[in-house]
Amino acid sequence: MGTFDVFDHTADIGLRVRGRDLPDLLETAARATFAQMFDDGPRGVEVVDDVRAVPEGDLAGEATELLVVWLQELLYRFETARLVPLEFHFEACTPREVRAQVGFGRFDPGRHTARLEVKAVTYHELDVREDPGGTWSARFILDV
Amino acid sequence: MGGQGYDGPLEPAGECRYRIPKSYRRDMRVDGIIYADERLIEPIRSDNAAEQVVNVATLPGIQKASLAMPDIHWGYGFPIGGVAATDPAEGGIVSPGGVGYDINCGVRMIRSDLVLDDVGPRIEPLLTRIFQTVPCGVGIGGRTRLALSEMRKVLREGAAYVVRHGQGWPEDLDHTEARGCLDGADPDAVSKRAYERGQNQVGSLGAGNHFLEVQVVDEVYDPATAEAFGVAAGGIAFMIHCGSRGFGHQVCDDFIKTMRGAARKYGFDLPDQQLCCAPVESDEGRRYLGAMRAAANYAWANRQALMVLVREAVSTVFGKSAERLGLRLVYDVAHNIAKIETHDTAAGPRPLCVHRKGATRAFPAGHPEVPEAYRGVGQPVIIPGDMGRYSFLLVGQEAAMAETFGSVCHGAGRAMSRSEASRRMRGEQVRRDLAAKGIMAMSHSWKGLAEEYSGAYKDVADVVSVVERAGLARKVCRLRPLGVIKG
Repeated sequence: MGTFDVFDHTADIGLRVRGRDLPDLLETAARATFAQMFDDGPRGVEVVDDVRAVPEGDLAGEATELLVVWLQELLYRFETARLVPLEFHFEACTPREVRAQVGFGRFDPGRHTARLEVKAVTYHELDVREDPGGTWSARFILDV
Repeated sequence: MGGQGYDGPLEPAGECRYRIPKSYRRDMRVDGIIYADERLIEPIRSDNAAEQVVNVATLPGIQKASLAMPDIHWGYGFPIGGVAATDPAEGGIVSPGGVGYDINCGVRMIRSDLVLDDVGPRIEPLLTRIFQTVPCGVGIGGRTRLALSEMRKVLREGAAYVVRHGQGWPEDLDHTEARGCLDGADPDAVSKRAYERGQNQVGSLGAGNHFLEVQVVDEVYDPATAEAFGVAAGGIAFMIHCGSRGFGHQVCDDFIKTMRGAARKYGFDLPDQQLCCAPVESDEGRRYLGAMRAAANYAWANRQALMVLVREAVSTVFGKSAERLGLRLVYDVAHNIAKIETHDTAAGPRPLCVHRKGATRAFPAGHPEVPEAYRGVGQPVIIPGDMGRYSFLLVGQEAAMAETFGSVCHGAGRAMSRSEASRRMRGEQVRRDLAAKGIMAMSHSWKGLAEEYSGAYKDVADVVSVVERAGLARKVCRLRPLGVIKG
């Protein structure tokens, strides 16, 4: 399991994420992002769905773009169906494409407490890299 | 604060003005100008905002200067509090990062015939009723889900769509910037995902720094203009801060992808990916402006619908119609937007693309876009502060047209990160502190409330003072919160 910490940004939220490999980085980035949204969120998986993220056009193959597109996919599911990602099973994961089966809990405003809406993952100072030794790290800022 | 800070030049350039000369960095096309005084300039140095002013000064076609208002702080791409105008005829660009994800985030202020003696003893039932009536909080949508065909009408018509469906009064549109609708909205430039995200969110407040406040006018500085705006000392007002919700966020996401490709296509060498952009007069630029205008119109429809819910709640509590309570819209301003406006340049009056990223339009008396009722005094400029102190109502002045493309600040501006705020404060403590000041607060999240506590923001009085001393706008009155709803 990867790790993350929050760094100070005056208006928004900065996240530094580390993973043992690219799938671990993406999973940890998702957990870190959704951790900012809830004081007390859903814990049990209720829905399993396939999630596919593919950077397109000139941006294909960029790991930075992969991270952004992956998180956008998950945020879209939250906003349209209140789904919160809890469990991850990666079927394919390269900078060109990620395919995963994701177990989601469903946010219920009557039972759970949410704190912040994440509007977007920004490109400002965005950095995703494979570090020496094959681990991965990322730094990104959420607009909240 | 956060970031590395700024150690470049900040040269005093007259009353409340600091210049970053374009010689500071080779890629700057114009100077940077930051409106601030000695008290505000130091915190501005401590985060990355001034460097972002420099980055914006590199954008193709930028005119006059990269401008920053006294509430400036570190954003993404543009600083929050940034203003930049580009000339399309000189290859000037439009940048989604110069508008932000919450397209047409803005504020509206509603005045009333109620006074402090009416509301003070009933603030609890009033705030509770508003909290129950207005959908707010993370993941909470509006009361109705719009069909796609209706969504397209919202995107074209803006606030007028809501009024046409019996929600509000025709005169509300007269008192909304651009009458609540930008021409040139293009519903076909908007993605399916944006429609999906926006379908059930018209009439919802959201969360974060969006709020709804019950306020009392506690100080009047300019009685004649206050009278023209329909406000007087002791009067009760309502303020709504919200934007285009998930619809606008998706439009921005979609076009940042487009613009990253476009920036490469047009050979722009940008210092920050978030500044990605395309010429206004390009296919990418035109499509973005069409989609952004659609999102701006969505936001005006949203704030109109929210105001109608507030009117409904207040009417119920006081047992009188909104008309009898005088719940009239003073004005609605956008503070995250790009608009084509005519401004004076060295080559004479030209249509420019004015980006306001955390900045408010502030047109002076006589400007044709100021509503007829206010044309003799100038445009109302609504500047919310933090929930524990006060907000201000200003009026636009001529100097804003001459210097800042008719723009001023948009709020207090954060002085502290959210994590720092929650390290220093707990939500329960914030609620108690507010109660001790006679302010009732309601929120779905105590921690969220802590992140928004007063000390996390600059004192908006300092910000407004700079704007006034610089001659950009003049104070009309101050409003003190009695009740605060945070999503």
